[in-house]
Amino acid sequence: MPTQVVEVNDLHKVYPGGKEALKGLSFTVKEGEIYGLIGPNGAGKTTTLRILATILEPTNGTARIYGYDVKSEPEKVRRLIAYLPEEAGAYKYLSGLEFLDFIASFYAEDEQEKRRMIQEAWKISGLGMRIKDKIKTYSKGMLRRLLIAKTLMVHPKLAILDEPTSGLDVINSTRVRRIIKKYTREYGVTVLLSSHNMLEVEYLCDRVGIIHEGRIVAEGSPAELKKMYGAENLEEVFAKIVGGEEI
Amino acid sequence: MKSAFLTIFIKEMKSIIRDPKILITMIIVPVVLTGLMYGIMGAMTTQAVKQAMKPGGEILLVDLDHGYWAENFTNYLTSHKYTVTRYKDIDSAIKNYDNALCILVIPKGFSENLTRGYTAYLQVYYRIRGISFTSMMMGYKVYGIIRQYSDMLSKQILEKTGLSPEYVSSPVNGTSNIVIGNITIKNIDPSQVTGPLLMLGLFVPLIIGLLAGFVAQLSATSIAVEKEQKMLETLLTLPLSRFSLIAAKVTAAFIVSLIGGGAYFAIMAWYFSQMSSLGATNSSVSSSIALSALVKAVGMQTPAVLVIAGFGTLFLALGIALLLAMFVDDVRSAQIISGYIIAPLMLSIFIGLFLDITSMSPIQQTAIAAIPFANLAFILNLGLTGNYTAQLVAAFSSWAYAIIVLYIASRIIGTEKIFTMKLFKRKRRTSLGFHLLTR
Ligand SMILES: Nc1ncnc2c1ncn2[C@@H]1O[C@H](COP(=O)(O)OP(=O)(O)OP(=O)(O)O)[C@@H](O)[C@H]1O
Ligand SMILES: [Mg+2]
Repeated sequence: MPTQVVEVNDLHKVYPGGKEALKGLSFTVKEGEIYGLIGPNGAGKTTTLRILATILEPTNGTARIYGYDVKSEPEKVRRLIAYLPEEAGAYKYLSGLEFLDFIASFYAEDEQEKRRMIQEAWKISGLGMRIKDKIKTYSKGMLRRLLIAKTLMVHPKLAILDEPTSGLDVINSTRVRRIIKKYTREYGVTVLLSSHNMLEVEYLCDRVGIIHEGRIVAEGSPAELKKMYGAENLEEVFAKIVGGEEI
Repeated sequence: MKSAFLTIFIKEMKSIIRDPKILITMIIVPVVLTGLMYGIMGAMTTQAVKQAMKPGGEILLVDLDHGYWAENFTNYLTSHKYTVTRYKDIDSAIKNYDNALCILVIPKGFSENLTRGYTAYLQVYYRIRGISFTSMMMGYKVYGIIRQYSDMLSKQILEKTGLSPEYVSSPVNGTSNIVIGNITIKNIDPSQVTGPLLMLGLFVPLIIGLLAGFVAQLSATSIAVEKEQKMLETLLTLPLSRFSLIAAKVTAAFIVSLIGGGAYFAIMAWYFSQMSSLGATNSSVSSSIALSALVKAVGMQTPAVLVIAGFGTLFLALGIALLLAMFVDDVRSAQIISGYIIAPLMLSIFIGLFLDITSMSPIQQTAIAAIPFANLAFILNLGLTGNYTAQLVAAFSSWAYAIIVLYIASRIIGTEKIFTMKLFKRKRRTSLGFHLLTR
């Protein structure tokens, strides 16, 4: 039986102010898998990922990563994951290189490993000599590529990517998708991502969980889901489940 | 491998140095502005005083007396490097005033009065050309030379009578001795004591207040920068303890504040040394003896108490700033909010400076010594009145508050509250899709 990398069980999250964002969410992610969370705006994707990334605490239910509880053992969880937030930024007054060095310092065991990480990230980012420029001079796409690179360079056991290609043009998105696919296969990184792009999900994900109003309402491989709902593509599946196509 | 602490610390220093937002508002503006202010004031006063001390200059003379003593005085002026230009009457002298020091009128009867043993008067006219310090000093310069001439004459007159001029000029005189606390210092110029006292009782508390302001601003800013640059989420998921994160930020804020405060202090010290060298007087007591007597009077522990209380105050301001900065989203709000700390802090110190606690009962003194920030201003007077319990309270109460505040802050930093708490509730924009679905 493959190891459960992520194990979410009956997860509830009530924000201060009373908004119930998660209402009994459950799913698992197996080792080596790319798992996609899809769902409409406000469904609770980011909330789920933030709980798994140890930023938010669950109100009820459990979330474990490699068996470690995110609430009671966050330090252990943090050593296994790398998180790319939905609206992440970087220190504007550092150069791309300095930023990578900064992040790598927390993960690398020695100088040599750190250099390896930075080299790898440089390649992934495709920034060329611009890596030496201040981050404040980067375009949105360049920044996102830098951030993807910093997430993957540390070879995390689990990469948590919240809308990895949001705000990127077609060429950049394709590039990032290829990077994620190639890289995770190569290093056996497990990936949990969220997305609004069904093409992306179909291309990348081994399994997909459709999340709606704080619950997983359907789960399976893209092929399974299409078959289950008698749909041509995932977009149709999505529309059938969450509605909204009448506009 | 570099520790997480060091990594964060280096990053902090880099962004403080490179981010114009931080550098300009925190360091450059206050230091340069005050430095400039003190510098200009200091340079102007020294310049003015030097000018006034230096003999010489043009004097427009209107001699209506034409007697022996008028001539004698005129010669006295020229022999003291003054250029004398003569005019027939005041009106023509006024017309040609230009850059002269003043117009001196020797009225009719000047020589006669002097020879007969009456006081003779000289009329000095000088024009005010502006409110510059130099022009204000010019008046004194002319009175100075008249005073000198007058002293010389009285000496000559007295020598004829056979009396000692020293005796006649001051048959009775005083020497100043000072009682401070339970110490008596003999033959001392009071300024030798009031100077250091002012230093301990006024400038040190103010400098600490200033430093606390720097520290509060910088650490609040450094937390807000993480949020503004959208790095907080990433930072919270890195494998590093929240404690080293905060410790590194605080250390960076402390070091930069100390540098800023040090620069500020140097400017102030330079300014006051400049000022005091102008008014230097002679005293039979050396300043080191005066100082050691002073330390005995206020108690050896007083400087130590000031330092302890000072650091406690710094940590307290820091803790409050950290706590408040967690609630705001951007640098501007963080700076506004730390302004809310600094303003009452400075006010509190000022009120403390004007409050006369020596007339209070020891219990009242001890109670009031527990007021944070203000107590910095009491420490010296508590030493003078010998209320050591109150000094102890002043030294450690700020630490107690600081520990409480920092404990609360560390509790919040360890939880999701650092991410979810908001001071100014902003309406969350719910997206269109969400409305459609929940309709
Ligand atoms: N800090 C917060 N405080 C209060 N409510 C919040 C907070 N963050 C999110 N919510 C609410 O929780 C619900 C789920 O939000 P979440 O960000 O997880 O959705 P999402 O699936 O990531 O949406 P999107 O696709 O727009 O990114 C929404 O109704 C949102 O308004
Ligand atoms: Mg989201």
